[in-house]
Amino acid sequence: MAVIELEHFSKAYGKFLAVDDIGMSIEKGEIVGFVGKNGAGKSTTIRSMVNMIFPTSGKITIDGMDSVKDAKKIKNKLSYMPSDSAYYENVTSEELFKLCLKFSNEGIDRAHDLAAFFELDTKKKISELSLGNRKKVSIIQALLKSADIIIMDEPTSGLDPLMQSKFFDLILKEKEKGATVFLSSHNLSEIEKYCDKVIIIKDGKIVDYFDMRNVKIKHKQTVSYTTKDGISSSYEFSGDINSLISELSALDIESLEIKTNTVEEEFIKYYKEDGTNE
Amino acid sequence: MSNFSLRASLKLTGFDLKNNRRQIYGWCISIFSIMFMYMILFPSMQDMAKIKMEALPKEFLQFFDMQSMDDLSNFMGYFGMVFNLILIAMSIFAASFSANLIYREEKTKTIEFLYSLEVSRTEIYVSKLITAFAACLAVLLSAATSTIVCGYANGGETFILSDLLQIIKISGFCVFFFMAVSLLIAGITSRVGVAGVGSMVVLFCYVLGYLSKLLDTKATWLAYFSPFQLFSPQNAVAIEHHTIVELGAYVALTVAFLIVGGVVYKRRDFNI
Repeated sequence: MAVIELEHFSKAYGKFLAVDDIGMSIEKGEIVGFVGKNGAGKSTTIRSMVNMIFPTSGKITIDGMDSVKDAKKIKNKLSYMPSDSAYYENVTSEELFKLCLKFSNEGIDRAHDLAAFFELDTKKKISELSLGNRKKVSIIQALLKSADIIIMDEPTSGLDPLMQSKFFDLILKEKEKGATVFLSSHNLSEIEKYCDKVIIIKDGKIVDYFDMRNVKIKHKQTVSYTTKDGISSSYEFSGDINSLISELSALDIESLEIKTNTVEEEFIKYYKEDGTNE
Repeated sequence: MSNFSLRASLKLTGFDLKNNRRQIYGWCISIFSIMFMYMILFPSMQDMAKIKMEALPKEFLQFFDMQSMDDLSNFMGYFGMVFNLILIAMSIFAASFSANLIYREEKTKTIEFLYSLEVSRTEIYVSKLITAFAACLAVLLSAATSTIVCGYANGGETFILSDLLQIIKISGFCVFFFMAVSLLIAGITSRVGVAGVGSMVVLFCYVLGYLSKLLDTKATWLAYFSPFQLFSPQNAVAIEHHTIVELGAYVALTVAFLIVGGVVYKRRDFNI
């Protein structure tokens, strides 16, 4: 069953179309990465999912409920972590967590455990925290309650590698409990490592989709060779490897390199201005 | 409204009041002190009024909502003049404080945190309304408390507590009206500096009221756009039938502003 579903979703700001008629279906228990360069439409899509902004057209369904009409009901099942760790400067993170806990059934121990795990001093005021520590506040706030659906907008930006790793350990635990996680990120290696599916958005449109469990089928290979005549060539190949071998056997090859592209290399093409995956 | 929970709003209100306590305390202390400073000077002002201010033009007196310098010879008349000016300050506070409660959440993007909690937009709006109301009431009560203290200290027979409470109730309504105006504007949009717009509305209304008196019979209708004029301390004490009707109309307008602000806030994009 689809836990998050977008049908013909578009969002315009005045005349500017930020997201153009996209659709997606996220299954229960998946970790889904949402990738795209700045301004591609990631945050707009995520903010529409959590009803910060309204779709211009189309429909977003979360756990079978309409993201606009059932916004409050959805929150019983959903945790959201925004990309900007913006908080009230003159309060401590402990005070923020206490406010969050007033709306959930968890005790303050959960907040203390998470703070200890992320090495966060909860007694400090937000204004005294570094960007990385504010990010930790955001993560803890999102993981305070046991949510079925966790939506995170660039959760690891600003975190050091150790904390990034700790963060994903927690996310994997949430997945084990049955949670569905939808996150956007620019960290392509972490997306490759931890996500079950990856959706790529560019200029407001979804341009590619990877199921990481079957991604090797889709992987391309870069074939580079030099013949004894001194002719060099390099090209991308995908398809039946036997046809590649027979193609190469017809050549008088002196050196040959066949390199399988990493998923990260596939993603990065979408970050290039005119890059395509074809 | 089926999902609305007053309890959820009150939880947010508690947090908001705590978060804004310095500003609220600051205004309460300032208003109390200014009012106290003015009202404790009443006996000396009484003498000064008679000696030095009688030569002042009629327009000057009208600006302070006075008919003649005799108004300064009794405690309540003097209070009326001072309160008229303090009321502008309190209305500007109400307008800017209320607007910022909504506007700043979006400007600083803290609304993303707030709305990630299990609350609806209506609950957030109502919590802002309760916070603004509590802050305005606290500031208004500071002015009243200060006056009562001075009234018992040096008001003599001209200090009439029932009149004072009548003025606080009726003239003080202006504060809540401008609170509603700002919540309406902030509910509709957070793309402009709502606090500034709200404060401009306060001053504009005051000027309209002043012009209605200055132009006399030519523009008395302007007074209908100025709660300062309609619910001036003099009108509040006299409390004639037309004042009650006007008050009813303004209360209805205030409620309408609050409802429209809430409805639009529920349906618009957060400016983040």
